[in-house]
Amino acid sequence: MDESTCMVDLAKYFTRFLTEESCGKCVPCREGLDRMLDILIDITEGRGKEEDIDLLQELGEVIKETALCALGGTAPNPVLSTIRYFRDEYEAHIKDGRCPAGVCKALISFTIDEDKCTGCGVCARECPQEAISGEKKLPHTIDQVKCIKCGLCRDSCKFDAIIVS
Amino acid sequence: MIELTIDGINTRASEGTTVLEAAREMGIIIPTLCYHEGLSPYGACRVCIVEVVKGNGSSLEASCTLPVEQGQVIVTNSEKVRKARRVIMELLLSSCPNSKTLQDMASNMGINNIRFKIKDRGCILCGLCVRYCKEQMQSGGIGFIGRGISRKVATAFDTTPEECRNCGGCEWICPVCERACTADNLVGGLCGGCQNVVPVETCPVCVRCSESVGPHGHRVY
Repeated sequence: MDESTCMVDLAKYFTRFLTEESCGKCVPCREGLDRMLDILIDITEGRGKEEDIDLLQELGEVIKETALCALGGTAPNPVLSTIRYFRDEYEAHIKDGRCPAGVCKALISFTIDEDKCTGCGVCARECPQEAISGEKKLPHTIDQVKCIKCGLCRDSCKFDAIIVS
Repeated sequence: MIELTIDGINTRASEGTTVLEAAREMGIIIPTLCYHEGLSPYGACRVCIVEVVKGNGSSLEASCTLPVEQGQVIVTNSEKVRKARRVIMELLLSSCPNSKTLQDMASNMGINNIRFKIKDRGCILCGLCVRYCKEQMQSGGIGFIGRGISRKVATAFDTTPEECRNCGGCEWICPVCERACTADNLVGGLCGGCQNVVPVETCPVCVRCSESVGPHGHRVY
């Protein structure tokens, strides 16, 4: 885990896992975690609302206090602790519509740094969407309509020329 | 006899009773959904939560499954309890927005909007029907299947089991499968107020309506 891990996405991953683990007997765990996941999905897909952070905290505290068993009692922890220590990341998703770690696909775009690109063409060969084009030995460009934000170009580029913003 | 304090009143209860029973004996109102006098306690809805004071701190427990203990200090209607109940009611309503029982309860608590996404499942999984079928009718024709969000009440293999005598007890005891509120403009998914719907002869007056219309101007349906 480092700066390339999105904390909202991480909380979403754990909450989804816990929603599946919930036995479904008590209301806070069954319905609460499901609604919590809905809110996290909304935030990572750019539909977050400003009041969502407070709502997540309130819901998390209630689930923790009222759930029937220890699974529900600890299930909101990933959300609560990511909000406590990385509130700015949540705010960036909701207010600025960007994902600082470059993970949430709905909030990022891939572009090529013209100064760094050598025109080697490796990214164009890797791209499954054939979204990258350009002349040999000249900076390439990414077609934003075709791009599915898979990140293969970034992984294949030896010159760190792919910018995720 | 066990001595305990509920809402600042010292009281006695016999061993084996629950905090809910002891409080109701004293006339203290604690809302419940999955609790029924004739059935075993289940503790699933969490609406009956109360605050149990322990030293300097406190925890929230479901009073229907909490046995009385010597020297226990219980608060049934603190700010903490009301806040948690509010969120739980909102969760219940978001999964069964048309239930009159839930709407009435919510109105009594002053809740008139739901902050969560509404997913009408038509069942709150309180388990009353399952326990009624098993404990009162000695049948056991219905039970729970699945887990988590896909948990539901069903018969085995989705066929009518031999055990079912068509007594209708499950429907009778269900708090949410009654006639749904049919108002057009539901406020945050809650009851829309019967005054908006004509004819309204089918609508038994709910708390929300009497609030919005007022005691004098209320039409009796």
